[in-house]
Amino acid sequence: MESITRCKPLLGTYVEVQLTGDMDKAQLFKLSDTALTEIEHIESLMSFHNPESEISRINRQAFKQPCSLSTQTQKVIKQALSLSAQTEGIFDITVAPNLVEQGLLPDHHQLSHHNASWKDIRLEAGYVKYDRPLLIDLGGIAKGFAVDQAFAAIESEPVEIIINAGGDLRMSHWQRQKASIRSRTQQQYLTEVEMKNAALATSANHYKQDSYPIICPLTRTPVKHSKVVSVFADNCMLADALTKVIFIDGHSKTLVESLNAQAMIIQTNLKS
Amino acid sequence: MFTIAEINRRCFASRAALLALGIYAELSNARGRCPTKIYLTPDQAKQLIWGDLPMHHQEVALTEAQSDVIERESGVWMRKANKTLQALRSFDNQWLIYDQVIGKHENIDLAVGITNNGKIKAIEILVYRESYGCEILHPKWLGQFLAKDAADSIQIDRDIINISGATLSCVHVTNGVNRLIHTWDQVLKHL
Repeated sequence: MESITRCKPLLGTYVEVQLTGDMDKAQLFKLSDTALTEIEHIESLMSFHNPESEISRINRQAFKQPCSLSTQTQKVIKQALSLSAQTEGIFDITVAPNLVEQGLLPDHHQLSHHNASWKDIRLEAGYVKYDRPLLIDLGGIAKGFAVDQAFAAIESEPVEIIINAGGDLRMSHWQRQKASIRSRTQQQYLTEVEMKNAALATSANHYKQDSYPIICPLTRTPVKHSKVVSVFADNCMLADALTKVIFIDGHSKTLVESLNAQAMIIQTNLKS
Repeated sequence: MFTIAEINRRCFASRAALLALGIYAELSNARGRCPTKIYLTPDQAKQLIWGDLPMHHQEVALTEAQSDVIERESGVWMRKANKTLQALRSFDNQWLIYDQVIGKHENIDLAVGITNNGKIKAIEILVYRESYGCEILHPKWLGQFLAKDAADSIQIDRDIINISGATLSCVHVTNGVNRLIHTWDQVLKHL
């Protein structure tokens, strides 16, 4: 058995791919290339930072006319809208203007209607249209999707796979595996947990002092509490998105259960 | 600062709250660790980025004047170590630069492939160290850069732990790569 671990700066964070299998290292590296290429592709489609990405093009055009979109972006927006409906707007991919305001996302100098929300997004097969000027940011869900896509690209191979995109992670052989949840930036604040499902994602405020990356879509204000929210699910896109839902509304138990997910909250009391 | 015990207490309180909510939670604190994650040796990175392309080692010492221009153009401050490049170069001027960036909590060795027209071919992280004072406990925390096999030179926790947490930004690596693009533009392409 051979094993490799590789790490690249992608999706604005560090993406790790660990592969173990009965093949030589060169083959494992080749498989890791396949997985990482998939992540690069998703980044090129869904990066809000990149003005050339598909999502940036959609943000420029979709109010004026229906915009064609890739099957991948279609899938992510569809999942996002489904969660928006199920949470009555607690999950909403249109909070980008509030993140731009905080300097957490770049300002592409585009207007958005102050009352626009997920309800103004029309998604049809192969097309998306905005009913009001708005900005979509898939930052709360696309990282998990990228992990899933990278995973899918190599999961038929006889290898054990662990992909970790800056804390959004997915494992092929997750039973009896452990992971550590980071409750503060410092290394000693790691909480070891057994994996409960194939994917695990975590959201918290604490890595950027004085900025709050999670916006409550209902009030359009940053959520400033000090909880660390982790979610296990059978895919990383869902785990990623659900961390935001629970971060904003800790009482989303029914929804989490209905999606076969499990949540864990650590109160760090770091910020009031 | 909170102690581990305090965090444990808090975890216990949150576990109680979670159980009341019916959400399953199982918490146990890992002991403080100082992980150094070693991903690739310099040779492996070369192989991944440039394959079998013949390359030779070249050390490039930047002058103060060159460093100033690079800093100004890239907007990235250069540490002393960044002013002497450890690089591999092919006969057709493809480059592989072994570099080190230091962030707030991390110290990272990376390999950056730059093509003969100044484009980034690929970036590979070789070693990722978390700091938080660990470097004081482990004098070899630094200085292992470019070790033939980095794993030989340190004795600290090098297990790859799968950590889930709020996303860490890779901005220091991005800045470092930006600095190298400008280093190519100012210096390497004229060599």
